[in-house]
Amino acid sequence: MSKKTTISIVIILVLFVANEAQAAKDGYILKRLARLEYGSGKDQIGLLDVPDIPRSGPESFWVNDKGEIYICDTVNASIKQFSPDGKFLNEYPMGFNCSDLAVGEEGNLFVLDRSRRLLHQFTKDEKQAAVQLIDRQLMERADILSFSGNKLVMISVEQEEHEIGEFKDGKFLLLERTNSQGKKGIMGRKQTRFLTIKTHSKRGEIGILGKEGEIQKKITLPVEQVASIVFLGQDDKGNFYIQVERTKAEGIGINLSVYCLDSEGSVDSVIENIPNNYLVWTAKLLQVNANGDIYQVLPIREGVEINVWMRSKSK
Amino acid sequence: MNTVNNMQSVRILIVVILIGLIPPWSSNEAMAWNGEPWGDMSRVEIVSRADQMIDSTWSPLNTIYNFGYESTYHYFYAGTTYTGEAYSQCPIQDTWAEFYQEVTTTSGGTTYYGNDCSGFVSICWKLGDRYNTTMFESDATSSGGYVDSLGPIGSCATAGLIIGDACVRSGDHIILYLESASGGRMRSMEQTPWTTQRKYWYWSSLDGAPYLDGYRPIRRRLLAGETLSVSLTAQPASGTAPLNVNLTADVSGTASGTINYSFWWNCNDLSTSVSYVSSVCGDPWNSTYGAKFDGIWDDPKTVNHIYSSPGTYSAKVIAERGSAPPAENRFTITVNPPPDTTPPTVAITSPTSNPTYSTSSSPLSIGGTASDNVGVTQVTWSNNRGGSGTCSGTTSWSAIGITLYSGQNVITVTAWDAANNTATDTLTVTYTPPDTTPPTVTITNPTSNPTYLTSNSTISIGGTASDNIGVTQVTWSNDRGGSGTCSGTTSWSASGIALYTGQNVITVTGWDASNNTATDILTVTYTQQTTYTLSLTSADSGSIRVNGALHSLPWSELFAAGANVTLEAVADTGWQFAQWNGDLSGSTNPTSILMNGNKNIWIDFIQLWHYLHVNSSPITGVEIESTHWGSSTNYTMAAPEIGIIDLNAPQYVGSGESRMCFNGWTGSVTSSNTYIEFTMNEDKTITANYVSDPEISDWHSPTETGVPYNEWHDPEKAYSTNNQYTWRTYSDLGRFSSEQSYKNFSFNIYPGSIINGIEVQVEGYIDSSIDNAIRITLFGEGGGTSSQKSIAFGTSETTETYGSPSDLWGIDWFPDDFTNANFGVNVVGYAGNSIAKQYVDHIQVKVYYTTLEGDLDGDGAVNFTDYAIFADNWMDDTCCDPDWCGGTDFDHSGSVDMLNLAAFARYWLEGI
Repeated sequence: MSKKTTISIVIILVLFVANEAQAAKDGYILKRLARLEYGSGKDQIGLLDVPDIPRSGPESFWVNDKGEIYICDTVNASIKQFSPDGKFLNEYPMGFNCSDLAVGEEGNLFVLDRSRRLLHQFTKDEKQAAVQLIDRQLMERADILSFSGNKLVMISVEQEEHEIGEFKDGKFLLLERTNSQGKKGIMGRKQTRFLTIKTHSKRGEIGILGKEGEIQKKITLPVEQVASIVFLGQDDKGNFYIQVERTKAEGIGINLSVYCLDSEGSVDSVIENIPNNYLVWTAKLLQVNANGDIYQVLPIREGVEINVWMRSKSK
Repeated sequence: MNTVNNMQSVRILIVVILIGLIPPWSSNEAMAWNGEPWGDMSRVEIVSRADQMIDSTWSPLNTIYNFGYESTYHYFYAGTTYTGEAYSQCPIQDTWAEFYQEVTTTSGGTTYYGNDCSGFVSICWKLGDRYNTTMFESDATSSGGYVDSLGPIGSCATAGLIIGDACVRSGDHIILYLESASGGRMRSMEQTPWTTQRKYWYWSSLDGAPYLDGYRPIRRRLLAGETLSVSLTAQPASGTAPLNVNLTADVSGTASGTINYSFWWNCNDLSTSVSYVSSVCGDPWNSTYGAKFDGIWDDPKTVNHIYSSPGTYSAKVIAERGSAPPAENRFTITVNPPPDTTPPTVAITSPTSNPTYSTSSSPLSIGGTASDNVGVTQVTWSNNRGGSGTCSGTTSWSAIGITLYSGQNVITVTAWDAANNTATDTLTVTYTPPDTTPPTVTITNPTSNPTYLTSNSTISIGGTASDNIGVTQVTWSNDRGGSGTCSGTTSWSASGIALYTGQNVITVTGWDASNNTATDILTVTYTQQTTYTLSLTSADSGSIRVNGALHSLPWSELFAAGANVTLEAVADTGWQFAQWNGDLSGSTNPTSILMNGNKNIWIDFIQLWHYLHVNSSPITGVEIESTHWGSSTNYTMAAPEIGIIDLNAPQYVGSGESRMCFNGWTGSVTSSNTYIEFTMNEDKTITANYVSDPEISDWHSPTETGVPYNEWHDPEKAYSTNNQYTWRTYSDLGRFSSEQSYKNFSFNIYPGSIINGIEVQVEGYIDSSIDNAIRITLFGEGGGTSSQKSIAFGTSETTETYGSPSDLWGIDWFPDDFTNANFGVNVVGYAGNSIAKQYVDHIQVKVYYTTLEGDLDGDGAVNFTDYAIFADNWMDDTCCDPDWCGGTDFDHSGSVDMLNLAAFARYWLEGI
């Protein structure tokens, strides 16, 4: 090993330790579960990077409560499954380009084919169970698949949940027609609906909604220059997580951070400076699971990183 | 690219090569878009072009396949409807019209119908040439050309993108900006495999790696009608001085780039020229006049200013941006003086300035004055019983039509100023509603009937009237003529009302204070035909019944000539009819009289009398009193039939041994009381009875001498007072001697009487003044001798009395001791130191005694008859003078008790 290489390794280790220490101070520990190479192999993720052709890569991902990560390998027209520690587990060939996906705890796999406005349901045995045509108007406004209780929903940019299907008698059934009439707010795990608001003054607010969709409580985050604010989810303890993009002071670049608020709406901790050098367009940036762990599938130039901010035990 | 595995790189390279080998002059080339005449266009046209390519649907005539990832082509199948123009990475780009023409006529196979991302934007922007992403970046970073840069790479989020602007990453991708979605994400219009579409972008995917792979915000040049407007708001817009105000300018429009803000705190000029306005309203760089910010991206922009003085201000802003004309806006700010806390004043002056007012009129009108240090804004009124309103005027105000309610109405008038300070004044109005209840009036005289017949040319009327409040007057009117006011109100009369032959309707009207009236009508028929007056009178006690109707006397009324009137004299109690007098005679009752002229009749009634005979027994001449005629003895008196007569007999008559005691009334009235009352409803004979009740004897003289004892001469001369003396000469000096007794005093003491005392009276003298005395002793049948008493005579004749009413001389006496002839007085003389003569004119004895107690019936014995009387009064505790409960209360204690019983027992069976 050359001297230059040794120095580089030392620097990298120092930076890594420093990063870990900062995360621990905030109540979170960053772990990089994997950095996947681009390619068409089973444990690789496809990247289309040709001049003057829109760069394309993994457009979405899903993390179940076990910590298993499913990645839309859009370019390779498949779903890749990884273990909680980032090891490749499985590949599900789709035959179409995945735009988004959601995985039920019972093993049902729901995959969105945006170009054809189709939602595909695959059962645990990898058999295709159903295909649903998404209403065009809905597809125009909604791009995220999620679960709201026992229902599968698409979340629109107006932050309305549109029911796609639900569990009945132990089986998951897609509706014959997608529901273009949405329900305001995004449901957390504690039957509470949330609405995020970017104010005219570029501040971020969170509205906690009542049964009729009215804002019962409004929480203002202590941030400015908000570019976007998104409800990520709620953990089993009732803490909820807000993803915030902020423009940098000099007007160039974006900061990505996550605010963790307790069930009373007080900011519990903040994860700042989340890497966000996304190489390609993605349907989602981050996802939170039941433990409050925050996952990121980040396609960067060097590959696809699977990062997780693990919530410390005390939290 | 060095991290992409080698195999993938190879495949991509093959694709690029293949693309490069595809002849651009394919069968569809003639229809390809390669630029348009360059010139102005609007954002609306940009969006319209994009929408057409995104939202239009198409179906290929035959299945075609375009460029796909790696070596895979993407198929569009015949018969399937697709939305949005197909992606095709080819130097020749299709507009929507070209694309649609091609796909609907295609023979299928490998085609390059459609456009790619940069072709899509080139077409939307109607560029003069087909640009790729590298060309967009190059043009944006150099002068001239088709596009301008809105900021450096990585500044899409802050560039203030407007619809139709774009973000480009050289060699990769370009998207059009459509809108900012909920939560702040960006929504794009773009050509991305496999069809045109709108997508939602996180800013991280655009600006996340600005120095490596970021996007640059760009804008088409020559955007026609680039506009700019600015709105100005103030928060707060009004308030009390000093007022701290945030002025916020918010720009809108199609203009882009940094903004110049020029604020003025107070400027009414409408110009959009900063230099001109500065000359008019002051330099905004000077904080005295305003504030200025140049070349900033802030939108909106807020500045703060404190308005110190009250007033109305027009804040102004001019915004300058890009090539758009400057825009201006103004906002009016009202700065109020400190709050007015001084209340106004208000006073009610009409109908009174007093706090209370009484009226019977409703509605009420009020008025008054008000004042305030700033100004009275309005005056309102309210009635606590209901109703409210706003008064007319302020400093001088009035209100009309205030409805009053019966009783007390508190009218509150409130004056207001602009600061809502208030002052009130109240007027308590007592409202008495008008009296609408009419009185009543009734004619009772000369008749209560509605009609009346008279032959008199005048008439007097009278009657009664009443009202819930009060009758104020009573008037009369005759429909034939004449009217007047009656005397009195509730009891009224009018006299001398002239009558006219025939029917006269006399209307009597009762009035109250509210001019409510009531009438009664008497129709009087005045006839010239003959009528006569029947007048009846009497000096006695009685009344008259005329044709069955009873009238008090005197009484008179008119009767038509020839009327036969039935009369019946009715005597009062104690009286009886005697006879008719005057125009009627005789004693027939009832009777009748023919009215053939005026008739005057008087009636005699006589009073019924009874005789009372009063006497006494066994003695006569006892004065018996009566409140009606005083005292008299044995008389006969006439008394009215109905009269209460009282008689009062004396308890005792006479004295000494002849005293008599009242013993009850007998005859028509029986009573043991001396005072009686009775009704003289018949002749009565009443006797006052007396019984003997002596209590002291008379002086009794002896009628017989007893022991003749030497020296007393002519002892019988002591029997009476006649100045004939029995005398003696004392020779036996120094001792009593020469005893002489006298007896047979002829007493008659009531048996059983109690002897209380004995007095012996001796009249005599001595012929010289010597030491002398006589000694008297009493003796009786039993031979007992009393104690002795001595007395000395003087030389003049004197009458000396020995003993007293209570002196029993030392022994017990009984009545028969005195009635016995052997009762006597023994006289013994005494000479002290010289011889002298003693002369005795007479000797008398008097006995004091009390009549035997227990002999209640006076029969001289205390026997069972007396016991029955005693028992009848036993325990009566109401005894008083004179009867003292029938004589049984012997000790006059007021009650017949055990002491009286003991006394009664003491003499039980005495006298038998």
